[in-house]
Parts: sequence; C-alpha cells; structure tokens
Amino acid sequence: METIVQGLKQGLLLILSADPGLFFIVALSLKVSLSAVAIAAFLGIPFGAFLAFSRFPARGLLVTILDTLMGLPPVVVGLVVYLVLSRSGPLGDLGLLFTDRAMIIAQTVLSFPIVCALSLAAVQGADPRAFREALSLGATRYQAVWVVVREARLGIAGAVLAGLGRVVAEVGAVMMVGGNIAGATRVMTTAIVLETSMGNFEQAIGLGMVLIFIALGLNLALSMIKGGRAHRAEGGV
Amino acid sequence: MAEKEPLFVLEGVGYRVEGARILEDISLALEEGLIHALLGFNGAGKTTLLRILNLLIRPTEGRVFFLGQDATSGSNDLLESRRKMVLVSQDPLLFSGTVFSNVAKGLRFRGIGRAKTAKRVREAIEFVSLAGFEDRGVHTLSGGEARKVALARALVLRPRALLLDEPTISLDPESIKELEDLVRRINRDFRTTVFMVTHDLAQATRMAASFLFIHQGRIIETWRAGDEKGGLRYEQTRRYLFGGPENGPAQEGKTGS
Repeated sequence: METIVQGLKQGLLLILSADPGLFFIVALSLKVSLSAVAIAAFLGIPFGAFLAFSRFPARGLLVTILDTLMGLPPVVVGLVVYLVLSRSGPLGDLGLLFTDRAMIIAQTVLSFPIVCALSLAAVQGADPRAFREALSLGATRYQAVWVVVREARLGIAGAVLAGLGRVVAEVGAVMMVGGNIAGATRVMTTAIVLETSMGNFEQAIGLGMVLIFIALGLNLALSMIKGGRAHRAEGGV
Repeated sequence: MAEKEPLFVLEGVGYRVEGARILEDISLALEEGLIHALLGFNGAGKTTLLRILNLLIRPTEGRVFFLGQDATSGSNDLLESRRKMVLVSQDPLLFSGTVFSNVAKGLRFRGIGRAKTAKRVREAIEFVSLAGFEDRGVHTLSGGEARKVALARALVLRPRALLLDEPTISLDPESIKELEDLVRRINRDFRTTVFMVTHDLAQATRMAASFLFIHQGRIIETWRAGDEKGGLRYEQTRRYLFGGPENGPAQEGKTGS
C-alpha cells in the first residue's frame, strides 16, 4: 500500500515538475495516436458513408468484416505490421520498423475499423428524410450525401473519439513494431510496462495518471457530444 | 391564342414496388399557374404520386413530361428539371443550423454567390413573416414557424412548381390560416404552380382551382372549383366529399371500386 501511495505522490511530482523525459513520452504518444486516428478518420469516414449509401452484393460481408475487425487484438495487428515492415517483408525496404511511423501504421490499422464502422452506423442512424429533402431542394447525389454526413457529424465525432480511445491506451502493437526505444519510440503504455518491470513505480504511476487523465478527457468529450445530441433531440437550444 | 402547355403531363403512369401496385394507369395534365389539390384516402398513393412528380422516383410504367420534356426517357438531365420544382413534405426536416442556413441550402446547392444568396434568403424570410429569425437555431422554432421556414426554403428557389404534402397537418387553426395565405401569395405573386396533397376538404375548397381524386392508385376523377355538385361520376368521390359519417379507408370496402 505504501508503495502505491509513494508512487502516486512521486508520480504527481513528476507531472507537476514537467519532467522532460515524461513530457517527451506523453508528446510522442499523442503524436502517434492522433496521427493514426487522423488517417483512420480521413479514410474511414468516407468509406463508412459510402457503405451507408451503397448497395452491392458484397456489402453485407464487408460490414461483417469491419464489425469483426473492431475487436482485433492489438498483438495480432502488431504481428502483421511487423511482418510487413520487417526486412524480409513486402515493405521492408522502406526501413520503417522500430520507428514512430511504424507505430502510426499499426494504430491506424487498429482504429480504422472502429472509425469506419461507427461512422457507418452514425450515417445510417441520421434522419432518413435528410437525403430526400436535400434532393428535393436541388442537390446532386453527392451534395445530398454530404448533407446527411453533416447531419450525422456528432455520431461521427463520437466514432473518431472512440478510435482514439482504442489506440491511446494500446500497448501490444506499438511495443512490437516500435521496439520501445528510449527517446525514439517509447510511448506511455510501453514505458509503463518497462518501468514496472524494472521496479520504477513512480515513473510508471506518473505515466499511468497522465493516461487516465487522457482517457477521462476523451470520455468527457464523448459524454458532452452525447449530451448535446440528447438535448437537441428533446428540442433544446 | 394557342393553349398554354401544361406544366406536367403524365401518360399511363404506374408504380409497383416488390409486387405491390401503388399507382396504376395515371394520365393527367396539370395546367401551369393554378393551385391543384389531390384528394384521396390514406394509402391511395398520393405521396408516391408527389414523389414521381418531383422526379425523385421513376415510375415503373408510363411517362412523365415536365415542361414538355420526357423526364422518364433516361437521356434527360433530371437534375435541371428537379431544380425547377420543390417538394415540401408533410413533416419537413430542417437541417441542423440556423433559419438562414436552412433557407440558403438550395441556393448553395446551385452554387449561387454569397451576396446574392444573402439577399434572396432575407427576402424569402421576410416573405414568410419571419424577419429577425435569421440567426435562430431551428430547434427553437414552433411547428408553425418550422413549416414557414420550409416554405421559405422552397420559395427562395423561385420554383415553377411547389409540391406540398399535407402542408398544414397537425398545426393549430391560426398557423393553418397563415400557411394557407402564404401558399396563396406564393401562387399569386410568383405564378408558382402549386400541387398540394390534403385530407382537409375545406382547405382544398378554400385554396384550389383544380381537384384530383385518387382511389386505390388511380386518379378516378378530376374537376374544377364549383363543378363538384353536379359533375362527379364516382361513388367514391361523392362519399369522400359529401357522404358517410366518416371519410376513412374503412369505407373503401363498402363503396367498392
């Protein structure tokens, strides 16, 4: 118990003193996760909207695959990305393994199904009248799709935040493809694993606290989005 | 003087979906500049006919001509034709945002410039007596105000045809009167042809010059204002207009077809 209390105290001191080592790890974590989610959103939102509006034979299968990939174990993603980027892999010549870009790729793969599937659900859940109303006002099909996507923007923002929540706390994939190299690819989760194994609980607890604050911030943002939507649905201002 | 070309001409229009017959063999010509009222029991095919007129759905049989152009041939640009009319549904969805952004929507779809859009939007908002509401969020509007915004959103586009699906359903008497006045003014001031679906017979009589009665997917009767007393041919129309304790689908079985 004393270890925990001591760890909490020293962890808090580390945060308050803006420890450069801690700051670097937190900044790298955010850079990797935010970049990954930005790419996943750039690809996943349009693809989700496309799936919501299109009807083709393999659509059902694609949606099922997406839903399945939402629960993809990070270590499996880590393994696949590792094999693809390793020297003997198809993209080995790029020399990306054990770099922050490899971690971004792994986290993009992890967050894409979540952003895409939840965006699909958000667009499908938008008021079905929006598309018809837009067409009736003279929209082209693409303009009408854009109107529906805009109407679903709160749900899509929730999808992006859910994707970020998934990757920011993930450890398996980044450990495998990043290598946990100090000052280069060490992020919050991999640092916590390392510091704990070495008995440096203060550093581990400090990082854990930052991670919890980030998770808390994400959940607060999600609640605010949901709250805003419920308030509007009730006809509030 | 040559007779004016009708705005819409339908020739043998039918619509089937998943084996169900919704509309059958509808042929009609709608004169430009009038208010036309489409009457009929629930499930008669009124809304489907409106969507076909709005070129949102293609009939499975027959042809639709709008301004003399065959809109069912497949070679014509439906977007250009669609942009000459607006359908205001019975429960119009206002897009999230302000009154201004909603009324501006159709102009933005057409790529109209910012200054011109602002001017026309303000004129339309003023026309529906909502001046000062420009920056109001649409979720703060009453039912009557929301319908007025939907009308402003339509009239700002200066359409040749305004298609209305039960425009005053579930509104209070004062709002109904305001909306009716607005539709009449739109018809009079802009020479916009109005085609409205309504269950309210008194409203149809107050507003329309031309009437159509649809029964089980067929237009079985058309007449002009004042002709209904002596000129109606069908039992179903007479029952809908004058007869029976109620005008509801339950009577359809009794009247036969």
